[in-house]
Amino acid sequence: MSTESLTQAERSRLEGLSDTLIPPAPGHLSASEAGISGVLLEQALAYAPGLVTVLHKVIAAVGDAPPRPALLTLKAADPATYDTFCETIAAIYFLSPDVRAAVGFPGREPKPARVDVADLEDLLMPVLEAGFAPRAI
Amino acid sequence: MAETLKPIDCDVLVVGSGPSGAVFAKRAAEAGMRVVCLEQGDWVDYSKAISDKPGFELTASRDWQYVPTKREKSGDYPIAVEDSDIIPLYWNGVGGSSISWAANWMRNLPSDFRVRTLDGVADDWPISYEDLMPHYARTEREFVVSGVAGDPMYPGQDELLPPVDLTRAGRLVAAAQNRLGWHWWPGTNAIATVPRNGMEPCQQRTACMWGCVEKAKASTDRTHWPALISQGVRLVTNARVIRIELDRQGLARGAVYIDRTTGREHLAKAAIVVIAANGIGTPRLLLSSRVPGKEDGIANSSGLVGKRLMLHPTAAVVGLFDQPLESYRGAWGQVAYTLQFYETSKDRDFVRGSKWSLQPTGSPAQIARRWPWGDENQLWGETFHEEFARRFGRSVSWGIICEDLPDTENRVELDEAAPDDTGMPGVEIHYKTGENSRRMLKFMAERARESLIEAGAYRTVTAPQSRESGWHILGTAKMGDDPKDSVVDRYGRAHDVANLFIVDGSVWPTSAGVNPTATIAAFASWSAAHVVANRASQRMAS
Repeated sequence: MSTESLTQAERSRLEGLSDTLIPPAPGHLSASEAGISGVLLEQALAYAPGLVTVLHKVIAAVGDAPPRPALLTLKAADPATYDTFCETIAAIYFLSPDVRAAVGFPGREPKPARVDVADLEDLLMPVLEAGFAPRAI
Repeated sequence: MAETLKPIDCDVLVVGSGPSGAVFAKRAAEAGMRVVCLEQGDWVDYSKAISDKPGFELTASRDWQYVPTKREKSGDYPIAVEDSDIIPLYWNGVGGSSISWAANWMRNLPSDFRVRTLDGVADDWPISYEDLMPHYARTEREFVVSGVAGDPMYPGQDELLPPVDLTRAGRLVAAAQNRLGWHWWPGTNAIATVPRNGMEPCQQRTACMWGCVEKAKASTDRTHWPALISQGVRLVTNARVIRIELDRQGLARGAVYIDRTTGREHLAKAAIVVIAANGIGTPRLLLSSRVPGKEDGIANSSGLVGKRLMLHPTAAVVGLFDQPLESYRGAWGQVAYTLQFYETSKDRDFVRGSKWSLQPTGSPAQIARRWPWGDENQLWGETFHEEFARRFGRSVSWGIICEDLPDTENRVELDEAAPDDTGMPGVEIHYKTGENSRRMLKFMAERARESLIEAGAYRTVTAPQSRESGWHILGTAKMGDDPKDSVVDRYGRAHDVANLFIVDGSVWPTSAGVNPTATIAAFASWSAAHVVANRASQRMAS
């Protein structure tokens, strides 16, 4: 599935709704500037074609109403769908490398979890000296 | 008429392939017993494990959905939760709920086995911490448990893999706990930090709970079943057990199951039947195994099958800090825990207590979720970037588990009106959060807030109660010495059916206040050791 799943008019509506949730700010792209209805949407639907369902649902529900009051109405009428929509928009937005860079997310690079116990000794010493013990039974 | 397939005629028939079923199967197979496991679901497709890719969060709710009411996976069955404050969470498939767990590995404390004696409520267990100690140690090796040995609250936990990173946030909170004089300890997790038992070290891609791309988080489809199958244990997937068959003497002959790929019904015969289907699947099966004279199901002369459901109410408190903490990554898991408020205190208006686990808050997409931030903390709109920057990489969460007291009104019942695809009844959950738990949740959230503020948090957020929080499903086939007041004995043997064993969390007389898998696995090991040692005298169906 691709962006063909949304018509041009729907993508335009998606931009308006998304920008209401994620507007531009100094140093940060808005949702539409990041490509929420274009390349990012295409990537997202490649990962999860079923996402188009919630997008269709919300776009249809709000119709031609102005985005901000339309989203407030949706939130009041169907909070679960509203939450899913917001979280989906955010997940699509953060597919953008530019967006990730702007928030300081280095990506999912591996960083071994293991640490040496010796590195924790200073912190653990007070615990060991505090006299904690299991409750007497 | 059920068809008997010749290959399924075994010494031990295990129903369910999660932690308890896998551990029991391993012990029995190692003792030379012929073991077959029937699993209603299928294997996980790890090609869908993409926690190293940007689209992970977009696929998680589809491929790793832990809420059964939202999931439409092979192996699932109808569950009605309208009358429950908490929605039980579990996975039906090879590995059971170890597929969708946080891998917090916490032994019960010695006092958890003596609740009635110590606090005058609920029940004592018929077994002790000391009984389970060797089984804790053994299962910790199998589940590649990492941590720091020597927590003074835990006698005899002395062999763990190196711990996961405490993280910057964890160090702040640990130091705060020290200043407050409150207990804490680095997290114990069923997450490998070195290569062991076929598993590989955690790489902290973000704070990813499911679909481990590194093969670091223990799940029995990886830690147990491949080796067991290579040793000759037979694991039958898509096998929905619809009833346990008894002979005229009331002994289990085996289990009738539907092969969900063909729709055909079969009888798997066995000398011993072991149910390991979790705190909901187990009572569902027992209650469904109705025969004339046992209209309330088998092993149910006490009337307690399905009763005393305990679900561990939870809370969460997030602290926001004015310094970068790299909290978008870390073991999930727990990087640390505290048992400071675990025991009953006369100063409080509730009995028993809680364990808290410290966790990172996660990736950008995780930060944008409603939970744990709640409606009062507006993210969307003009404040988006500002609020996001406050949260992202600069926050950490105490997750709080409350010990849940048993109540016979909290229960699992059959839902005859909603059968599964084989015709077996679905289940209804009836559960109300008790007043003791409500008081405990309030107290714990306030203390967790104090901990985070001491650590330097300039703001805290107490998460809204989430119904989707029933990670721990316990108590629905109580263990005890008295057949009038319990379903199984101290080894998990059904009082009413001498060759039927239950080894999952159903048997817990009380819920403790820690994550249960360590004790579920240890109990399965303890039960299997008993079965193996006494197999020569084991009664079986004619």
